[in-house]
Amino acid sequence: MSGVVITGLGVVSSIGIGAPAFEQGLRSGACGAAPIRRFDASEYRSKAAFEIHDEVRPDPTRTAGIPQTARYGRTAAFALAALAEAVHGAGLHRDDLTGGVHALAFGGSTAGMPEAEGDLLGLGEGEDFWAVAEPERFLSTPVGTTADVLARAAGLRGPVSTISTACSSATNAVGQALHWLRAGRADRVLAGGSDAHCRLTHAGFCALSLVAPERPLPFDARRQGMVIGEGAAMFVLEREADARARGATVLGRILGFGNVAEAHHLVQPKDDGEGAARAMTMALRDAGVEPTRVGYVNAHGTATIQNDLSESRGIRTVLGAHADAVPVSSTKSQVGHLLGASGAVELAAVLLGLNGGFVPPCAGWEEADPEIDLDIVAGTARSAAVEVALSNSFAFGGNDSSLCVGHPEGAA
Amino acid sequence: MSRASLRELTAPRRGAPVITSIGIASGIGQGREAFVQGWRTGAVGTAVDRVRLRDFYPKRRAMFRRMDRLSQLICLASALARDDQGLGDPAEVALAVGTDLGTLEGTWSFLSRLRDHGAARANPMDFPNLVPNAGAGYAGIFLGLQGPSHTFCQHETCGDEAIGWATDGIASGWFDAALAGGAEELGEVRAAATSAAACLPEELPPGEGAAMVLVESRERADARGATPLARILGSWAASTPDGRSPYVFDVGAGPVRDLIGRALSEAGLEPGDVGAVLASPGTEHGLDAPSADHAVRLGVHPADGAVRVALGALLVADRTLPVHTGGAPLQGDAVVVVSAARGGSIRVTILGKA
Repeated sequence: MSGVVITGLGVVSSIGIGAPAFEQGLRSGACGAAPIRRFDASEYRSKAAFEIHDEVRPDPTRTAGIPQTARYGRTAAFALAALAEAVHGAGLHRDDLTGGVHALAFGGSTAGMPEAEGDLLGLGEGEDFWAVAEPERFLSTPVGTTADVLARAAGLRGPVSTISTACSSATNAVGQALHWLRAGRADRVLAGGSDAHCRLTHAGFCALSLVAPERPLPFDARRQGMVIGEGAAMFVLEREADARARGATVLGRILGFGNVAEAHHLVQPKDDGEGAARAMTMALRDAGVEPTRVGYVNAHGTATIQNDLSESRGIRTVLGAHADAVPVSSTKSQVGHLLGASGAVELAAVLLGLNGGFVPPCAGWEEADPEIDLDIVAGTARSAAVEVALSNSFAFGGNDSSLCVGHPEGAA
Repeated sequence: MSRASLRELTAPRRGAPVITSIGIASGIGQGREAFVQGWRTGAVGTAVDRVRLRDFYPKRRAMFRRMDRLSQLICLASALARDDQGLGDPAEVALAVGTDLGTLEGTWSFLSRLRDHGAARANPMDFPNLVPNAGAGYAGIFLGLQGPSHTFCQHETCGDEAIGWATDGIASGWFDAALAGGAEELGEVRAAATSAAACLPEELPPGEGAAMVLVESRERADARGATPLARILGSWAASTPDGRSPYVFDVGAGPVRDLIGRALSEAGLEPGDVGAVLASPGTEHGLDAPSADHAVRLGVHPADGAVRVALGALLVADRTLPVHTGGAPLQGDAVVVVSAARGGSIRVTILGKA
């Protein structure tokens, strides 16, 4: 069976809009955390976030015919920009997406909430929400609407799916794309995720005391929690035989996918990392890859006390002694926790690293946690020729996912 | 493009999965028998009367108070499925839930509290319920389901999509069994939003309910002595990007007709093999089959695709059409379930005799 490869990627993040700027940010160890400007955060435990304030519209000559608009809110605008970059980078145009079976697998959690919540939170004394709210605003809040916007923009006629499993959403969407392509359900799949910063999620994570006041420090002994980010990443996935036949540049291979339920607790991972380990093991078995071939782990790494400890134990369980030789980092140290979109942006970081001969850093990491026995990539990116990487995403509901990603020229 | 090899690629590595256990919580009855009775008599009900989880999960009572209604409905339907023909070893069972809106009431309540009392009073106990996969998380914990778990949110097709995902996962050998279906809650916020937005077909009343079915390989069902109710011959999806807006229901007849035709062809069926079509509102114009019945009467929207798939399985097993559609014997071996969604997604599921 032909393998599945990625031939296009697009990124919108707080450290760079577009893959080249994002890669530069990754290499330099940039951190996009800053005081919140989108709303008054003075009452919140954390007053920082990884927000995007620059113009997200791509170069009009590089949109691949995919219309760009801010009409449907920030989540959709991020996703449209990332999608256009991915399709253009894959050497395709919107006109190429209307034939055959072109599908969309999307992961996210916020959709139109950043805009719609303002109508409710800004309601004046005695005002009736339903009398003053614009229907289009609250119609944009169901999480599936972002995929609707993308599918229309790209003119797709194949399956359209939105997976919303909190922080593993986009990783599961890429897994869905892998399965569709393997099964012949689609000829090409546009996959990824997008989320925008909003008060609902900020308030929720602050209430749970899972946030750090200024910046996240994954795997560092000083870590205090996550800091929320926003952005998007989208990919073009296709069967390798098809990509090679049309002369497309292969950016990486999706070798395997793992997803399991912990069935343990709604928000807390198992202390021993058992669920994380099962997800990674499933991804490696699906890929037919031995753990000793893993050369990098892009961790979920939220920078909460419990997650990082649990995940590090899971990594050690899967890789054993080989873990001593495997660099580990969390891209959340640079772009924040993008919630439903986090797995997509982190996959983009993995792919850019595989192609560029580096592993992204764990920005800000300085002080080792004596309970975390891993090779954390400190400071800036580290040069490394990686053949196989794991990209982890773990979520509320005990939903643990992992992608096994291969170098574009590596063995399938 | 390797379209020529599509059939080879889609050829299932295993036989068609079967539906064995069914759990339904709806306004016309809870549990398989009550629901079928309500359906046969043409009953109408849009709200689930009582959700008494303690009857089903006596050791989990401490968790019920923090749960939102949507999660309760998912856990109720899951328990009803468990109590139907069992689940087998739950640790190996996958889980797929479809919900369009998640807990809209919970989200509204959380934001209202934020507005009225400030950030310091945001309730940490409520926030985890606001993610769409909270219900799947609770059901996984209650039942010990440790396989893959996905929550789908593509509006009115999400319940069918969950069952399609389970079918594909079993056919590919990813897992051997999955509890799959859909759920939606009904409250003041959703009723008001539906009215204010006027975004749905007029004949579709907002309702609530949940349906979860156990999809498993034939070999697994046989090994544990469960009686298959129906085979799932396949699940197909498409979309139409031509509607007026991504937010409204505007699916044309052509794409529905095309997808049904493709599904029948790839399932190796002729139109004459189809004994009944269970269609969602808005898809009827694309139907050519004579015995289309509209599940709109159940008022279980929008995850009602899962309800229709469950009904289809019961129809195939029972071989008798309900009274309000004539009560005649089911002609043909297959039942076609059609769903369409706001934004343009369409899904067709075909069920066959076990």
